Amino acid sequence: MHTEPAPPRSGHLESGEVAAYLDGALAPSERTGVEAHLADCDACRREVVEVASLVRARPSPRRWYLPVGAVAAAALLLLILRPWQDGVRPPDYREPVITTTVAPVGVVPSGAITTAERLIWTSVPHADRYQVDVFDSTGRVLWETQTSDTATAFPDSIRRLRLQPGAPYHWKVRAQTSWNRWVSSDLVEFSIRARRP
Amino acid sequence: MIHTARALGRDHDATMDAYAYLLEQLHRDDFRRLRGYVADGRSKFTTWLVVVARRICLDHLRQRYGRRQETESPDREAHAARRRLVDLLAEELDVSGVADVTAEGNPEAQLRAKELSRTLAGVLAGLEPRDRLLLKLRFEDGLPASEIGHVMGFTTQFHVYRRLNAVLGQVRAAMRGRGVQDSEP
Repeated sequence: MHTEPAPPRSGHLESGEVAAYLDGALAPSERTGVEAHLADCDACRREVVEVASLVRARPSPRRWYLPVGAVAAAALLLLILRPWQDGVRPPDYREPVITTTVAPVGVVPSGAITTAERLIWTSVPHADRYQVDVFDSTGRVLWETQTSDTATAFPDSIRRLRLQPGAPYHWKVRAQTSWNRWVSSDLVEFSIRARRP
Repeated sequence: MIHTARALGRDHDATMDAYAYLLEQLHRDDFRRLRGYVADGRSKFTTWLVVVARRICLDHLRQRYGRRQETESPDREAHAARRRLVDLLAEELDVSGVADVTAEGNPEAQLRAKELSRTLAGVLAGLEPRDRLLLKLRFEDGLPASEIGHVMGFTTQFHVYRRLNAVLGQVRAAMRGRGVQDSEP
C-alpha cells in the first residue's frame, strides 16, 4: 500500500513545517514525510491540531469601507436632530440579542445500527426550529425535514427502501436561534448493520 | 497573538503574563525570531506566527508552572482513557476478538486476541502515512470530521468520511487477505 517510504526524521517538526503543512504548501514528498511523522508523534500531532484550531478561530480583522462623505453626513444629521435631547427614549421592543449559542449534537443514529427508526439530537437554548438533513455518501440529500422537537422519525420511504445495509450515510441538524440565524451540528455518520445469515 | 495566549492561559492574569512574555521574546535580539520567517511561499506569515506564538507561550507556562503533567489536562485524560489505535479500530471493524485481550482464564482466547492484534498492527503499518494519520486523528484522538478536514486539508466533511470508509475497507480487505474473518483468525 506504500508508494514510497518516508525518510526517517530526527526530532520534532519545525515551526515552518507545521505552518506549511496546515497551509497546504508542502511538496508531495515533504507532505508525506510530515504526515508519517505526525502519525507517530503525539506531541507534533497535538501541536498541529491546536494550531489549526487557533488559526480557524482567529478573529478576522475588522475592515471599514464607509466612505468619508457618508460618515460626515451621518455626523451632521446627528448634530441637527440631536435625538438624545428630547428626553424621551424609545421603548425596548426587542429582547436582547443572543450573540453566542451552542451547536446541536447528533445523538442517534450514529455508527453501525440495526434499524433506522428515528433521529435524536441535543437541544439548543432559544431554538424554535430544527432542520434535519440526511445524506448519502456522495453528499446527496436523501431526506430533509423541519421540526420544533429534538427528535423526529425516519419516514417509511427511508426506513424500508432507501437505506442499504453497509453503506455509509450522514446526517446533520441545524437549529434556528433567531430570524435567519442557524447553528449547525457536525455531520454524523451511520450505517445499517448487515444482517448475518 | 493575544488570542493564542488566551487559548493557553489558565486565567486572565496568566493570559496577560504570557502575552507580555510573548511580546518580549519577539522583540528580543532585534526581532530575531520574526526575522527568522522566510517568505518562500510555503506558509502564510499569520499561520507561522501562530505556531511560533504558541511555542513561546508554552515555554513561558512551563517555566512558570512547570511542565504540565499529562494527567492534569482533561484532553489528555480523555486521551489516556482511550485505548490504542489497534483496539479502537478492532471495534470499528467489528473484529471483536482483538480488543478482548482481557479474556481472563481463557488462554486460547487471549492468544487469538494477541494474534489478531498483531495482524492489525501489521496492516496499519503498511498503510500510507496520510491514511495512518487519518485513522489516528479519528480513532485515537477522537477528532470530529470537520476538524480533521481542517488539519489535513480535506475539502468537506464528506471527503473525510469517504476517505475513512475507503481506508477501513482497505484494512478489512488486508485483514481478510491475512486470513482474518471477523473475530476468528
